[in-house]
Amino acid sequence: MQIQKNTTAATKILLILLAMILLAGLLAYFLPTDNGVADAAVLKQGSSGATVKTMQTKLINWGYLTGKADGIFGSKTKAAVIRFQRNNGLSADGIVGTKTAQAMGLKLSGSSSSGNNSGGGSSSSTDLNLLARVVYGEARGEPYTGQVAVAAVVLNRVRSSSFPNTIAGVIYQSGAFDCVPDGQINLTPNQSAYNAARDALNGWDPSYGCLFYYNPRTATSKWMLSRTVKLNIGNHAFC
Amino acid sequence: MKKNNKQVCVNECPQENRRNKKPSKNKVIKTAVFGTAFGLCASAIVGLSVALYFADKTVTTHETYQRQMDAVYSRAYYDLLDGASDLGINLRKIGVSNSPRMQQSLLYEVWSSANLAENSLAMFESNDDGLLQAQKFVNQLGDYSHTLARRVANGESLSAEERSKLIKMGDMADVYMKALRQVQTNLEDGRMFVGEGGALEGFADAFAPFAEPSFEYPEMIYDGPFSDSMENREPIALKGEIINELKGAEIVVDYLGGLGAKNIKFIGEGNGDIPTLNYSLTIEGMEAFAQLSKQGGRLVLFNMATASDSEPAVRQDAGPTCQQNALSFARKLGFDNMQVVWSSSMDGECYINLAPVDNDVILYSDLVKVKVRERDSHVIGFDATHYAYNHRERTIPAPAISAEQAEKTLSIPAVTEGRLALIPLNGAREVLTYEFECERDGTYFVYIDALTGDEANILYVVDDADLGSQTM
Repeated sequence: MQIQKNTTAATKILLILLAMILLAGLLAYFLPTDNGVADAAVLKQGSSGATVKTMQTKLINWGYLTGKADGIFGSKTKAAVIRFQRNNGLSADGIVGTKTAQAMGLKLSGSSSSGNNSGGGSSSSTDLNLLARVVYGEARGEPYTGQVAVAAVVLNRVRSSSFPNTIAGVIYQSGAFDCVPDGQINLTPNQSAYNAARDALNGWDPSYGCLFYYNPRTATSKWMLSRTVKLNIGNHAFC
Repeated sequence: MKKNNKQVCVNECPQENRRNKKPSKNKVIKTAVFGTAFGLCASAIVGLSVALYFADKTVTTHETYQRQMDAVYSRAYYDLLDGASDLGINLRKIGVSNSPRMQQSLLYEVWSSANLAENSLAMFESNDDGLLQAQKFVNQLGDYSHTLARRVANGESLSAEERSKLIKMGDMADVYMKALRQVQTNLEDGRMFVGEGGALEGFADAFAPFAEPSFEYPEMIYDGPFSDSMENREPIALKGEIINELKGAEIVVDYLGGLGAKNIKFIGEGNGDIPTLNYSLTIEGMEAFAQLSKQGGRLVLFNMATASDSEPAVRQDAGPTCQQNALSFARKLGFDNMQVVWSSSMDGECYINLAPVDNDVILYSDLVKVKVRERDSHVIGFDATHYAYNHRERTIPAPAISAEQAEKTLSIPAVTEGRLALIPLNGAREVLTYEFECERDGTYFVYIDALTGDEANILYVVDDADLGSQTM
């Protein structure tokens, strides 16, 4: 009896386990995953991570901090931040917010969204972010000039009468950029993408007025392939 | 009783015995197999039901999204229809109106309906010649009407040519409506925009008449940003002989050798609005890119990547040295008499705008831009596009009013003396002005027309966290 009981119990356990595994698998498959929590947009005592480390390296290089950059925002780091803030005419509270980060040349993660809270968020800053995301989503493996050219194509479209008249209008136009439907536009751009976007906004346009580009190796649209190519940079043909 | 007991024993005792004995191996395996099989069946049923439930839920969600997308397209479509039908009507009314005030208000109506049509059409795909042309039509029509409305507001009247252009545009608005009605017939069958066989699939085809029009599209040259003259610009500043790639490579060495340019390679020609010879090179191990104009061999663009892994180094005291280096770099390239007119810095990189000065007048149309790295004040980028398109010998009129007279028209105090500046307006016209930097809860640049004393333009300085200072 004991053994038979065990067998039935084992079967039950097996059954429950199987059901649970199945359920878990199904749930994991169907339920939307939560992609983690956005990083805080301020650094203060108690913060840690790569950004803190970068900030410490800067402070060490500028002579505000001695020792090693360990990535932990402790009291010594706080004192160094306060000294930096005093020297740069910032309110010396030891907290690295948007202004201090800007003075340090530090990019705080999540600061793009928190920028809206600080009030007076200007449209051009949003434009820069959008443009940088297109550059990163469309051309992150390309030579730097190719990245500038992709950003310039967006701006050339804004200026052209044949396309929408805003940066967002051009970027999100149906079928305009592959990075929109495949979701790569939502990746976080790197410094290079930001620099390229800023160059384009400041007038750099290596394509000299081009409105289209494609990768000749992967493009399939006959309509696109029929256009006259004006120049090639990296893997992209601009026309 | 005994018998009974025995009987019971006959039935039960062996089992008792079996229970007390070790059960046979086969039996255990059998039970285990049955148990597992039963378990698997049960979990399969549970799993399937869960899967079905979620699949059903997903299908419902999918359908909801599809209907929502359809609503977005439908709204854009009906707005487009509204905008387009108002266009045709108002253009006709302008044709018969004889009062400038009525014309002005109708022109503003056209401008606003064209904007509605433009915004709505922009919701649809653009990879089609007919759609591109249709978009160009509404954009130009809106821009043109706006320009005319402003002129009528200034007391000018519409010329016969302008009226006939508007009537032609009215005819095109009819073609536009026809295209949209074709889409409407598709929709009346109860079809949706999205999904297989949706009205979206035939949408571009409806605009085919715009790709190869059976009517004459008037050439639109006027004082506005979408004027044909703005879309087909020529680099009038570029003169001289056509150079070949070898000569070009020598020029690149000459211009950029001082920055440490190495591995200079010709990588092809550019046939954009400015025909160029393109070179790749390296500076301090970083990839760089230079473009020379084919005509005259001038450096029109230079740019280099900054190490993406290294954090940018910001220096607050870098301004003056960066500006000096920008000026001397431009001088070496043959851009003389330049003056720093603007600089903004971000992430350790400083963008410096230089403009030529002609007889004490700053030529804002002919900007040259230099990018300088703050860490070591090295030039890392250069752009002469504006200069190439706009620079020429100009006859600049003498100002009709003095700087003092111009300053009196300001409503807020100026912090600098007025200086003469030739500024571009609407991308098409240039106006001689006095430029004043003014302060009131922010910095403004106010431009007073040096011939009429009117306000020609006002710029406001925006401090942007990501882009540095900007004028708007």
